[in-house]
Amino acid sequence: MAHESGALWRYACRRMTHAVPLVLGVVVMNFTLIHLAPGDPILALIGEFQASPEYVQSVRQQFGLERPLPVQLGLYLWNLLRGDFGFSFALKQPVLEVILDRVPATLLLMGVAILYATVCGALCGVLSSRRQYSIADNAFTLVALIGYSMPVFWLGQILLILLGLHYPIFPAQGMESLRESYTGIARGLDILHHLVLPAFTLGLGYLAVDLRFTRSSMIEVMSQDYIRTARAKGLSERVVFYKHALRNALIPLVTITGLNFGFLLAGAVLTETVYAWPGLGRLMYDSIYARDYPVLMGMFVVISVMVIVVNFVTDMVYSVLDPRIRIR
Amino acid sequence: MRQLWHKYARNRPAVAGLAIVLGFTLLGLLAPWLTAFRPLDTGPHSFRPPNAIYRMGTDDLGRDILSGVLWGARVSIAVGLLAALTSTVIGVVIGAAAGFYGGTLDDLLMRVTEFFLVIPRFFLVLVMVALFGNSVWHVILVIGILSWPVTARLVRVEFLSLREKEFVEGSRAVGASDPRIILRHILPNAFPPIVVSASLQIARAILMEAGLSFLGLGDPNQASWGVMLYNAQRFLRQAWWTAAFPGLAIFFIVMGFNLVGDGLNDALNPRQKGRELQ
Repeated sequence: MAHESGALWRYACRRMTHAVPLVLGVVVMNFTLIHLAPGDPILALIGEFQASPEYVQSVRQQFGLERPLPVQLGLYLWNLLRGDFGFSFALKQPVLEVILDRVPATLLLMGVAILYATVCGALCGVLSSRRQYSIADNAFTLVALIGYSMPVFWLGQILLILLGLHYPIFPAQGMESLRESYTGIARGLDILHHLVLPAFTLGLGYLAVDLRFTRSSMIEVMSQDYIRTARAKGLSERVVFYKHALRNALIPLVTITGLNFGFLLAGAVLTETVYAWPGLGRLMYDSIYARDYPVLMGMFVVISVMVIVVNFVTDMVYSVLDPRIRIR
Repeated sequence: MRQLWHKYARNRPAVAGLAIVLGFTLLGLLAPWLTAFRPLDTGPHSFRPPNAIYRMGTDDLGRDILSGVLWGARVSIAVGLLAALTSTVIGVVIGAAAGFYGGTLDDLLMRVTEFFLVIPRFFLVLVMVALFGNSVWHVILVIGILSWPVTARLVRVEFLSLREKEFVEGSRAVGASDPRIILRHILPNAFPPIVVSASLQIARAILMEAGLSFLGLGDPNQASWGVMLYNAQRFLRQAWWTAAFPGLAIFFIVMGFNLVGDGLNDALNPRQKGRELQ
């Protein structure tokens, strides 16, 4: 067992050496954009606001805009490391504070969407592969096609019009009822009620990915030798299918979830905009409107770091589920 | 070519996809003759529901939704095609260089590719368009410049296996130059996966442009479906039609290109699995 955990530890270190340069790359990217953007770099650092000359001067000083570029890059990196992502004029708050305030709402939305999409997607995919080219399989294929092609924000708008406004079964906007002040379980239920439409909207595209993946992965696994062996041992088809095949077919879903995290975050931003969900998406929308560049650029860094961390965790989980991967 | 068409034509969803794509192209091209209104022209009748004059209704400024939907096909298809073309050219150059020459160059290029594959592309596109301006040409260029990694990886793998083949050895033996071997001998053989990947990229680029526009980064001087949905968002309560029709158009065109991509994949690479691997 000690040997086992050593291998895992070594693998973690190896993946770490991949992750750190990626984060650095993102920072350099941001830095390059600030300098490539048309006009004075100060515009990207402050946003299109009427700042006092003293403030402009202090930002110039902080980022060393009069000094050589490598020094500037160093200062930029140092500022980010200290957690200083600049100041949002629109919101009168430090950028990092603004962003971190919004992360939990987005993660809640994404978590629920991932959960329902993975469960439903895997289930439909398994049923699909069980009876290839049956009516059910064709229906699921159609669902997947729709999920792939549907612009997530339009699905949101249509559901909002139908089930939020025309037949107001679900609340149309926000995360909580503003008129009542619920506490405890009642508050949880209220949030859940608000979550239904956004989570369904966000999850559909993801469900399509999981469905197609599970279907093809099940079909592939079922043709492998160990399945033939299991059958030859006289195990019932049900046991072979659900116990031997399903487990191996589902492991790659972990990777699919991890790899699609960025794609899902983009979907979350669009979904939140439709439903006025108080997460990163709404912040992004408002910042674009206000030309609040420091917040936009800060969000790119924070989101990139989130994606890189999720990829790292995915690799770890996968290597625990399927130890062969560590040797590669 | 004919054989390919026969294979493709047997696949009914793929044919339907092609029909959707061609249909929208035709509607976009014929837009000036199909409606009496111009998509950006404001009119006196705001928020009219669909009726005999305004078949899909009007928006808050009295603009005709139908003409927006028809003209919008031009923008969406142009964005999709040009962005996919840009990213495919970049992807082929990088993938070919990495796969053909191998060694340090390959390592370096693959590191860069991995970086661009991992970073959340939608957000980088968004930041760049916000900083550099939101004309439709910027949007095309930025999406194109950032969407090449999938193609590059694919081309690299093709080149890695093809460069070891006898016909490449043969042309090298008779003294063909590297560019000649790459362009005349290897690239044509690597074509099928490139075409499939490009057609799926079109769908993605269209969705991305629509998403950017929906967040307020669309080109206000173009009739874009995403911009129409951005405007519709404020009036969902009053005017469902301002959102319903442009969104339906995006949905169908993206589905069309997805079906074409899947159909090409089945016809060109019958043994390969589809997009799950991309």
